[in-house]
Amino acid sequence: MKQAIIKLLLLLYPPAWRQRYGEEYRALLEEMPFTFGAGLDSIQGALDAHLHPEWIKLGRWPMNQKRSFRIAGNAAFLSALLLIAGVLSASYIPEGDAEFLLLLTPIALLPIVIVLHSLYSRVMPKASLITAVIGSVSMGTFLFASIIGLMAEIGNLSLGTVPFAWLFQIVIAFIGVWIISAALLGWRTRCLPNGLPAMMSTSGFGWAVMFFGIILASQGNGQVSQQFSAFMGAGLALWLITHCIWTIWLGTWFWRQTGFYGFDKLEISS
Amino acid sequence: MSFDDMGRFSDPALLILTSLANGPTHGYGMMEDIAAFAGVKLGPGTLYGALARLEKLAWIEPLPMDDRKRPYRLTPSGKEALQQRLASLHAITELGQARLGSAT
Repeated sequence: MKQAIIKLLLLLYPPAWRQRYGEEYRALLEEMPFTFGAGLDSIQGALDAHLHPEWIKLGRWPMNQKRSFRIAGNAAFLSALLLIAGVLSASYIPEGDAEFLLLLTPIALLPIVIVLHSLYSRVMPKASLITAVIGSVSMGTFLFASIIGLMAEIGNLSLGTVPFAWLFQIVIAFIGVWIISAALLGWRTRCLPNGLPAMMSTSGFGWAVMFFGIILASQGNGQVSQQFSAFMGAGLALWLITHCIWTIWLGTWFWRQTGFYGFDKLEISS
Repeated sequence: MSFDDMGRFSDPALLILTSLANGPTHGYGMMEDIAAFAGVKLGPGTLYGALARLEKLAWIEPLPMDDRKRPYRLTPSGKEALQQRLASLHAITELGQARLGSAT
């Protein structure tokens, strides 16, 4: 009975807190004489930990993390650059090519999937694994679909001949779901700076809306198709505006963790 | 950063620092020590709320785990903060005593 209560009391604390103090706190609760007052005090402590996460200090990054932070930072900048290049070149290069450049931007995020997973898994291993699988499968599918699209263009083949194109599109729409879930984990684990998860979520939402709009527009016809095209356009606009901001923000943050800007902020806490 | 920034945890933090001034100890050791010298029973949530704040301020530091218990020790800055706080409390105590003495 006491073990079940202790487990419940621990679950009330934020994951980041449990990751740092969970084991020793459990040992304390097991050792001390357990009273109703002690239980209430623990609940109050859990509430305080949720309200004041700034006081939770986690361990420093391992030194070998620096290299992966640099790679992830560069990947984020590359993704932003691809987006800017796609937008700027839209009126100069043939129709479709600029679009292709824009759509390549999420593939550059693949290293970020891995690095964010390595951060989140320290605090929320299961949720982090699910998020990483969503990210890698959706981006991997997108990479595969892009290669098929490129080959089809070289061989002058119609993309309409690609079987299960709609299924590919659904999986690709899940890149948006990855961005949203990665943002939520960043906020929940306190790994990312304040504000960045909100920006990421907006961008991920824009991406998902855009792709589900594409799928629905291609399935419908006439007025229905036009309405979904408008839906897609709204998603595209939202994604275009926010993607650049969050990738540059995240890239800068990754580089800051390595001490590149003269700061030494090698810790998870805000 | 000072004791005042810790809000309701400032008094428990003072008791913890005083306990650790006697040498490194773990959570339950601190609770028992504080109960013995101050007559105050710190709850587990209060103890760890204060410990987290003291660690963030680098006034205490964790030592390697010893059989699932983690001992903490006072850092030089923690020692300095404790000395300042005790000096401040001592001055208030003396003033209070003097005023009480002059009032009677």
